[in-house]
Amino acid sequence: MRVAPSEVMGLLGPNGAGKSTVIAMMSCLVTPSSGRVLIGGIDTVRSRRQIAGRVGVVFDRARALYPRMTARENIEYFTALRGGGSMRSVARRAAHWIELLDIGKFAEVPVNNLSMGTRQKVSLAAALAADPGVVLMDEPTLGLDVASSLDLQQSIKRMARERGCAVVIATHQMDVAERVCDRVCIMSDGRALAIDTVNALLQLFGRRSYRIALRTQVTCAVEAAIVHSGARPGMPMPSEADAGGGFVVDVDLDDDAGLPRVLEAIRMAGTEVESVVRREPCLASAFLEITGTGKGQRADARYSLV
Amino acid sequence: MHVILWYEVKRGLLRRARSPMEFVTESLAVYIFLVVAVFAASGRVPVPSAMATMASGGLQGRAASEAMFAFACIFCCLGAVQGASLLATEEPGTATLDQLAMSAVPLWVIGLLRDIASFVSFIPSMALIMGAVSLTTGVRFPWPAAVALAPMAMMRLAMLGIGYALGAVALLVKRVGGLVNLVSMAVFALALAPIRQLDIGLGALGIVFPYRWWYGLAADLTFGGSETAGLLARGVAWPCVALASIMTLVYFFAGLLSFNAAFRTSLRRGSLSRA
Repeated sequence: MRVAPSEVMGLLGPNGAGKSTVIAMMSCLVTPSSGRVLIGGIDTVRSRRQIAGRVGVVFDRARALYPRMTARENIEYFTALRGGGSMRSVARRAAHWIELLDIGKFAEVPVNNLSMGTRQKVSLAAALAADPGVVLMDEPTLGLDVASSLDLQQSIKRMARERGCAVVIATHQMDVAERVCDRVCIMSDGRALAIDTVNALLQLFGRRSYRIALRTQVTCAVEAAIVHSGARPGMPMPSEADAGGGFVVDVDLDDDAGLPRVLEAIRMAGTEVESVVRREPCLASAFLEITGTGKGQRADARYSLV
Repeated sequence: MHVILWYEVKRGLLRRARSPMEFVTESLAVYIFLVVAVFAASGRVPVPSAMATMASGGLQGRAASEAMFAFACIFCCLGAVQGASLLATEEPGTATLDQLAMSAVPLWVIGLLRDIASFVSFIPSMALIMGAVSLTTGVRFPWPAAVALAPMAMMRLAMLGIGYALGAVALLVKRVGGLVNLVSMAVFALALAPIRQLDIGLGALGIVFPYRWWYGLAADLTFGGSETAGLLARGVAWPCVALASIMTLVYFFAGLLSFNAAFRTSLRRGSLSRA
C-alpha cells in the first residue's frame, strides 16, 4: 500500500481486521512481525526517531490529550515533544492551528470541559502543529454528532489538500470514507483485500439494488419466491431497516433484466407490489461483498487485490 | 531539550495548580507525618517500643533537625522511584503514552525530564511543608550545604534507577500500583534503617544500597565537621566515594537498560497503550 502526498487513504474492515494495527505500525508503536513500513523512504523500525516529527496521530475519542491541561497547553506540549523548535516557534505553531481549526474560543479551556467534537479538533491541531508529512487517524469521527463529524471531515480534506499531507484514516463509517477518502483499502483478517478509489470499487462491487414496497406483510412465501427468481436478499441500510414496517423487501440483482422476473415471482406468491425504487450502489454494500461479512459470499476480488 | 523541559515543568506545576485538593491533602499528610516524626525524634511523644530499642541509631538518637533532613531527602527520592512507572501508567484509558512514545526524544529521556520537572516542583512545596513543620515543632529545618547537593543528586540518580526498573515492569504488566507502593516502603525503610548499628547482614545493605552512603555524606556535610567530611578532606574516603558512585551508576544504568528493553518488548507485543 502506498499513500501519496495530499492523498487521503481510508482503511476499512470489520472488527479485528487490523486497521488500528496498521495505524500503530505506521506510528512506530507496534513493530511489524513481517514486512516493513516506510515513511518518506525511512524505515519505521530502523529509524524510529527520524519518523517522530514526520508523523502526527489522531486517536479515537481524543484519547491522546491531557484532560486537565487546556487545549492550547496540550497543543504546545505535544508540538514541543515532536520537535516543534523554540518556545516561540511552538507557541506560534499552536496559535496558527488554533485559528485555522477555529477553536480559538476554547483554547484556554481544560480539555475535559470540551465537547468531543472540539476535543477531536484539538487532537488534530496537536497532531498537525509539528508540521508532519503524514497524518494517521484512528476512528477520528467516532462519538461525534453529525455537525461535528462533517466539520471535522471538511477540516481533514482541507488539511490534506492545502498542506500536502498524506492522510490515512481507519474507520468503520462508510459515509466518512466515501466523503473524505480518495482511495480506500478494504481489509479483513490482517490482509488487504482491495485497494482502489471509492468509485472504482462501487463499479466493481456495488450491486444493483432495489427496494420493493409491498401492499402486505413480507411472508416466507414471498422471500422464497424472490430467491427462486434468482435475486438475492439485499442488505438494508441501518436507518432504513424498519422504515417499511415489514412491508418492504430489499433485493440485489446482477442485471436490470432480472427485475421483471422478481416482480412476477412476488405477484405469483400472492402479494401486490406498491412501488420499486432503485438504490444507488454504496460503499457499504461493496464492503460487505468484498469482506464476505454480509449475507452473500465473499466476492472474488482477485482482480483488484493489492 | 530545554524547550521540552520547560513544558514538563509547566505541565507539572499546572497539574498541581488545577488539582488544589490533591495538592493540599498530599501536603497535609506529609506535614502531619513530619510533625509526629520530629516530635518523636526530640522525645516529645511516646514512641512504639520497637523504635525505643533503636535509641542509639534510630529516630530518637538523632537530632530532631536531622530527622527533618532525613525525611526531606527520602520524600525527594521517592518521587524518582515512582516517576517512570507513573509515566507508563498515567491516565489509564488514554493514549498519551502512545503520543509520548512517538515523540522526537526517547521515552527514557522524557522520564528523566519529568523527574527533573518533578524535583523542581517538589522544592517549593517541600519548603512550604518544612516551614510549617518548623513553626509547629520549633525545630529549625537544616538547609543542605551547597557541597551536599552533589551526594543528594547521586541519591536521586540511584533511586531513578529503581524507578526505571519499576517503569519497565509497568510497561510490561501495567497494573503495578501495589508493587510501586511496596518498593517505595522498602526504600523508605532502608533509607531510615540504622544500618551501622545492625548486624553484618543488614550492614552490607549500606554498600549495595548507595542511598545510605550518599545520605550519610550529605548529612555530615550539612551538619558540618563530622567524621566523613574529615575523611573526605583527607582523601581517605575517596575509595568509598568511588564505590558508591559505581553502585549508583549500576543502579541507574541497570534500571535504564531494563526500561528500554521493556519498551522494545511492548512495541513488539503491541501492548504499549493497553490498559
